[in-house]
Amino acid sequence: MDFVNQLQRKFIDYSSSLHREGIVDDQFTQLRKLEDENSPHFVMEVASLFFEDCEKLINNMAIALEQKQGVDFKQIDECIHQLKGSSSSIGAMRVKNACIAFRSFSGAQNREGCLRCLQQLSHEYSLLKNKLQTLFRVSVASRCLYVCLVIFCRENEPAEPFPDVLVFQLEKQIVAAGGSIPRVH
Amino acid sequence: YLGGAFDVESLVENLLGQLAGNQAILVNVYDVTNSSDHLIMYGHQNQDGDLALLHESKLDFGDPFRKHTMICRYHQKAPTSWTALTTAFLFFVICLLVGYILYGAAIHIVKVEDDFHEMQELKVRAEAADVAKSQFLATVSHEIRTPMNGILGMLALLLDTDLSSTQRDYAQTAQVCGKALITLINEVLDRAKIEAGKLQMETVPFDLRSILDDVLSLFSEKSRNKGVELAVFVSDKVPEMVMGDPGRFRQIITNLVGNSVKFTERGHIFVKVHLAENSKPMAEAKAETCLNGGSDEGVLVSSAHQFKTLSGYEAADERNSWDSFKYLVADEESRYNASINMPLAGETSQNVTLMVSVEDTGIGIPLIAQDRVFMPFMQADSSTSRNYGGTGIGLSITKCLVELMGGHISFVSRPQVGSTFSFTAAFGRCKKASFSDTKKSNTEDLPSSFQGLKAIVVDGKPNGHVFKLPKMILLATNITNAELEKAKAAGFSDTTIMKPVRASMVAACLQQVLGIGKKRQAGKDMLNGSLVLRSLLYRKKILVVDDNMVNRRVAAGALKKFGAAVECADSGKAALKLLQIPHYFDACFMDIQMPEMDGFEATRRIRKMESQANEQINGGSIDEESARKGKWHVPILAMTADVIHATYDECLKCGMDGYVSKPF
Repeated sequence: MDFVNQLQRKFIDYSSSLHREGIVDDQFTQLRKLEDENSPHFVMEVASLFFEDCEKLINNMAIALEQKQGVDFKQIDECIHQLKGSSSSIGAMRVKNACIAFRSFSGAQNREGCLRCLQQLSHEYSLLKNKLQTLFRVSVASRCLYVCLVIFCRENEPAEPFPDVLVFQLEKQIVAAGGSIPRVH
Repeated sequence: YLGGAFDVESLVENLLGQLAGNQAILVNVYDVTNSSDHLIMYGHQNQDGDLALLHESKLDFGDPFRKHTMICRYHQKAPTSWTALTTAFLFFVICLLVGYILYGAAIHIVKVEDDFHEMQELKVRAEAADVAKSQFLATVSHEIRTPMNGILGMLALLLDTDLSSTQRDYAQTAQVCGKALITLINEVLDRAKIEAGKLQMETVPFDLRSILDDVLSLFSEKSRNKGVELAVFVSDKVPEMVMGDPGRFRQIITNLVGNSVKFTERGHIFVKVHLAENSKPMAEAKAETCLNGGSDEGVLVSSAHQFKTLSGYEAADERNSWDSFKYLVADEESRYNASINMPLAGETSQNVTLMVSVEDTGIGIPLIAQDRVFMPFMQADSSTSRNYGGTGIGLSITKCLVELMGGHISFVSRPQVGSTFSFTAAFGRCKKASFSDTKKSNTEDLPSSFQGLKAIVVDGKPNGHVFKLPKMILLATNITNAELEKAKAAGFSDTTIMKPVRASMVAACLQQVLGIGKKRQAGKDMLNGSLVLRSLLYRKKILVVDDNMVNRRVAAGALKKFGAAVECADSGKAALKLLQIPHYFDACFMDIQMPEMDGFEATRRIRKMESQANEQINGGSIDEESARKGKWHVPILAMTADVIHATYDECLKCGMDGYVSKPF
């Protein structure tokens, strides 16, 4: 079970680092709390929607800023507004802050500033995407591993409680599959 | 001094003859001064007689220079003593025999001891083999379970992803098979555990009614599809909480009800829970009705609605008919009223014995198979497994569990009529103090504001208590969604509950229809905010309007968590379409900043629609449905990121009821 403990610790460290670095904020935690047996992949789904949305908006803004004839700042403003809304819904703090900064430049109709901001925004978005995808990969992998290990090492229970949502999901899955959750007597 | 002449030889012979008795003795006297040359002084020259036995004795004539010796011997050889020989021989033989017997006995003892040691060893090995067999079985089952769980876990994950319908179908079939396999393995393991005597009963407080509720919900889908009525009745005298093993009790009920569901195609499945003491007068009541010519119900017509049972179909055990049920309930009530001041003997004791019966109108058990029913791996017929599935272990495990609970299980079954399984079980009474420790179940408790309300249950077969209620709630066994909507739209009923009737469903339904929520004290509200939210939002239809997909998803997710039914719209126009009168939405969350038509504009238009509809109601045609609905005003709440006073004023101006801040 030592391995599982390590895995847990890694997971906890990783997710707390996301909070520490300001990549996600409390809204993300709230979203994670919404996961239960009825919607076990809620956060992943919302995140994928956000990635799609964000990429589309960034592309649109890039195209708009490339225009030789004249940059349509109104459109850019709208895109930023959208992005700000969705990033705050998912709790992507740094992306949201980048949007706020971007807004001031687009309001001032400063093309150079906008380009710089767009680059910053892309950077923040890539960072967020990487981190979240790693998080999901770890959670899925550890989910499978936990199922196997918990059943194999039936005498021992992990020392620290597993991240709340995953424990809940896994227990429900195990019970639903007809197994039983080992209890230390 | 007298001198005489004696013939010494003849004198000695006579003397010796006298002395010798029967035998003639020959005496020889020798002068043995010269040891090599014996001089015969007296006696015959020839040495005859029995030379074997010689008696030699010294003679002293007083002559210092000469030595004499006398040798006596028998004249005749002693004849062989046959008696002695025979005795000796016989004695010898007897000794031999005795020796042989003792030897034989000793050998036997040694052999028996050896056998004994061998048997002991073999016994130990046999026991070890038995234990090993059980362990092997358990281990193998466990080992099978592990990858099986892995498979099922993966299948569950797979089913959560996007699949085409064929793929989904395949995955679901695999999942069903896997679950069946897991159930089988669990049953086998249970049997092994029971055999090894390792099955232990927990003693924790639990709520009987909620377990029955759960089991009912497990089978509600299946029974609904088959058109079979499923109901549970728990007598009032059964305490709320009892001490026992909830898992095993659930297993027993699931097994019995599962069997009933499997083998019943028409009619009903009725589960009853009483106190065991009350079942005695029930038996007496049955005897009475039988004596009083109650056999008019014995007419063997298999068509429905002839018999006073739950579904109208005949049930195997006449004792459970409506008459005895009425009698039982009345009896319980009268007893309760009488004993309010006097505690009954049973109530002060530590244990409460319950009697549970599961009655169904299925195919029954053929008479030949009835005595084999509780044996493991026995099914009524070799074709049963093929036609109905299952392995036949369930009832034997159930029997063991019931007996472990200190009860007894029996059944009454008539082929083609149905079966009624009954069992008793002993539980401990729960002290009031331990109530606070128990975990509250997820389902809400019926709010206390329902107490004192009365409701009528209208049923073609009047088998229920009598309550009165102005709102109409339709209880449906088997109804499609379209029929449901039609019923609602026609004003036939305010809402519908699908049978089997469960406490949680009734609570939610009544709340929805009557608008009665949980009335908590202000202080207690904060203790469990989510419970309050759940009671507010449960089964409410909410509309979420936002042009951004992420925001819609997050809002919908948050609302669905508390049990609301959420629909999404991506623009003001779509919202308008959905909120056309009449609609069934309880509330609407509207984003303010949307392209084309923003939140304010949409709300203004919606309020205009509503005021038009309201005028129609007040002024002209009094429509049945609208009158029932009252004034049209759907609560609209704005979703906005910047919560400044100006925005709030603007919201109120266009008719919104409030706002919530973003992020949701």
